Amino acid sequence: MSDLSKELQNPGDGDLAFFGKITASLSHEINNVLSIINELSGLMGDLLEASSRGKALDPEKLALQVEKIAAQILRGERLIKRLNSFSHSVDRPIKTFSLNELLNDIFFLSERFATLKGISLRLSIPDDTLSIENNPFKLQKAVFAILETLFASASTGAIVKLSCSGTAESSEIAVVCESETVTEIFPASSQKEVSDLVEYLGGKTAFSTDDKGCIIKLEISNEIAV
Amino acid sequence: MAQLRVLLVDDEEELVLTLAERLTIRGIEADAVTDGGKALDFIGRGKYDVVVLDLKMPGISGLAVLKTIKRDHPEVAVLMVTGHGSVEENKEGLKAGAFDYLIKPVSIQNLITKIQDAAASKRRK
Repeated sequence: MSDLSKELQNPGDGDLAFFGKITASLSHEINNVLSIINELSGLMGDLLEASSRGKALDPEKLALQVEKIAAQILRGERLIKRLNSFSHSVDRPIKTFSLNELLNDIFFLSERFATLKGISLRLSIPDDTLSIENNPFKLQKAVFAILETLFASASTGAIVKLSCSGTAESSEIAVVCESETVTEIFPASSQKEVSDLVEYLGGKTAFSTDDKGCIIKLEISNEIAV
Repeated sequence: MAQLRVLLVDDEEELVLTLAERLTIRGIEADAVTDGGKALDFIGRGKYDVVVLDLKMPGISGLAVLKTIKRDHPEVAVLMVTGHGSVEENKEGLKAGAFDYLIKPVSIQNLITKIQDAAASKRRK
């Protein structure tokens, strides 16, 4: 195994913190799903108990609760699928993966953080699969670090757009933030953190601003040199 | 004893609506809202004995709502509802004047007991 490959396997500064943040958020949401199922099934129990005391049972109302429970189970399944996919991203330091899927995952994992700050997160990915060889965990960490910085500094009502594109040689992830608070939206200290991480993955980062907000682009080779 | 009036605040709409219905079945008058802004609006217009408040919500945070209630409506008791692992937030909430906290998923009987205790503590003051 090459030095870079070994390096990419070892958890670095902040890796565990990132892993913890994501799993805590997902488990919080799974707990919400269970809480809702708990109340819906409890309500069904209340209705059945009332019927045993002579109150007419409304089959439509009961059927509605069943439908709502099924919807929550579906939501829980989706959350667990993402949690599972995220957990497996640390299986191997370098692997070939779909950048489209990775952005889908990071969008899903970050959406709750955006919602909590009143920010709208949008995703745009191409139909064609962009297949790249790199470290998916650290790449997710880099994208999340960008999003987290934007969520902390952009104003409520801001729009953050996440997209990707690619050629035969390289792929690009773009994060565009439209916010009223344009200045200092991406502090220099955070720029260094993201740049260092992307450089570590063999890529490069470009930060720019315009009158609407800021743009961050990550360019990564489709095959990492190890 | 007068009927208790409770406001449930949580961004999980299905959760608060169902909880409100279950409390109503048990003789507690309950309203439900899904964000902090609406909660403050309802508290300003209604006479609630207890507010059951989720701490993690979009927009105005649960903690900010709690502090506003304590400042503008000190007669209203507040119960916090949190997920697991929110020990620091729970401590902060208690420091800001919350009566107590519950951890999701909440048992309906436990919730009612806490609501009654919170209302009784307010009456004693």
